[in-house]
Amino acid sequence: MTTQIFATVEKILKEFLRDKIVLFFTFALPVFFLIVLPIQTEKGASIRK
Amino acid sequence: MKKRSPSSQSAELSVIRRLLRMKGTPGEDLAEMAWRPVPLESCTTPIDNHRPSLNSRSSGGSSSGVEHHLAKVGVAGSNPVSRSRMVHKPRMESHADAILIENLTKRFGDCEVLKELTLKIKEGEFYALMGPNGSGKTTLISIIASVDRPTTGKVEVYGREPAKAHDLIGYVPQENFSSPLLNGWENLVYFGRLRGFAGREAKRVAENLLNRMGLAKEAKKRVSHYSGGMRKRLEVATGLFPGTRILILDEPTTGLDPSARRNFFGLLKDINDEGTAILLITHIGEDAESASRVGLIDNGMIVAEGEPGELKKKSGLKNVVNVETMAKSARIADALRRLSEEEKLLETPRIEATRPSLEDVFFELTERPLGR
Repeated sequence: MTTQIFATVEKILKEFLRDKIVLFFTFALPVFFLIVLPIQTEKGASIRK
Repeated sequence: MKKRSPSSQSAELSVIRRLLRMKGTPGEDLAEMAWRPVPLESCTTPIDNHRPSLNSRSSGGSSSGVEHHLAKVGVAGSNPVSRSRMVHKPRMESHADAILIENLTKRFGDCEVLKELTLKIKEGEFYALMGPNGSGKTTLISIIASVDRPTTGKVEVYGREPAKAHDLIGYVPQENFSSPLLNGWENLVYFGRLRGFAGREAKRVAENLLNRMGLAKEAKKRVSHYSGGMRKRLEVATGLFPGTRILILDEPTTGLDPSARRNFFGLLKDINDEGTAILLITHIGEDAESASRVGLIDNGMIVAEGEPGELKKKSGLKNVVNVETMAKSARIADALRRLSEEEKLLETPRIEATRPSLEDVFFELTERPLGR
């Protein structure tokens, strides 16, 4: 059973790392928002002031 | 539509009557026959005896439908396989029948898909099951592969219940199931490990299978870059792990060009020559003709069964000679009579004799074309 579980996990990881679209939405897009959102929040806060 | 005389119709009816395999058992309680337990000891090896119980319903790990499908039939089975199985083929009690089906009925609600179907496939035989869409072919093989259960009737694979014969069955469904993001070798290693082979063994078996399928050069290429024929060969390889004794193929030539198809059937012949029984599901007569025995299925019943040549003979169909000519239609009949003497009268650039195909036989027996 362990062999099957490891085989499946390994396969899923390999597929995940090779799919550029999935990688973009999982890493690149969240990182982009993480950079942009704090700037927007600061601006919003300054408007309220 | 071809018009037929009453005499030919009655002859045809007699052929159908002779060929019909209505083996109903009206007095018998079929419910009692369903899933009659088969003692596992009667057909097991010393290896099998030490194997943990095969639990077909608990094959987890894969979420997609096809993988679940495969997991159930052994392509991605959940049973661990002992190391010795790599070396020795499982020695089993000799069973004349690879598959034995008796009075199999399958209902989905009110719809009866299989009607008291009886079928025997011998060990090492190449059997083709041919029929139109909706005739019950896929339902039948999903029952053989223990993906589905029959309503009534008996199904045995090498003397065992299908659910207990996962390691003997290699099932290749119609849809592509290999991962396009992995290469051929990785795919085979994955399926090998799902089948219970440990890492090194799985890698060794994968290499052997790639060599056998003629894919050694493309082993490190991603499957998404494979041609249709190469991908099909790879998927057939997933059904040929050591221990497989019957290979079930569901319409494997869909989408293959003629040369890929020819190569594919050459490969199937080789596999069959090595002793693996093959059950080929198809609706293409040309594909079915490669088999040693063909069963024609329609409306959930086997309408006719036999060797391809024998079926053609029984159907009473005659060879047809097509003559393409430039002569005017009124003169053709007369000209053909004198063809040998007056060649100048008739220009005959092409004369071809065609033998009846299995599609013609099917049409003759059911009065319905295959692609209805």
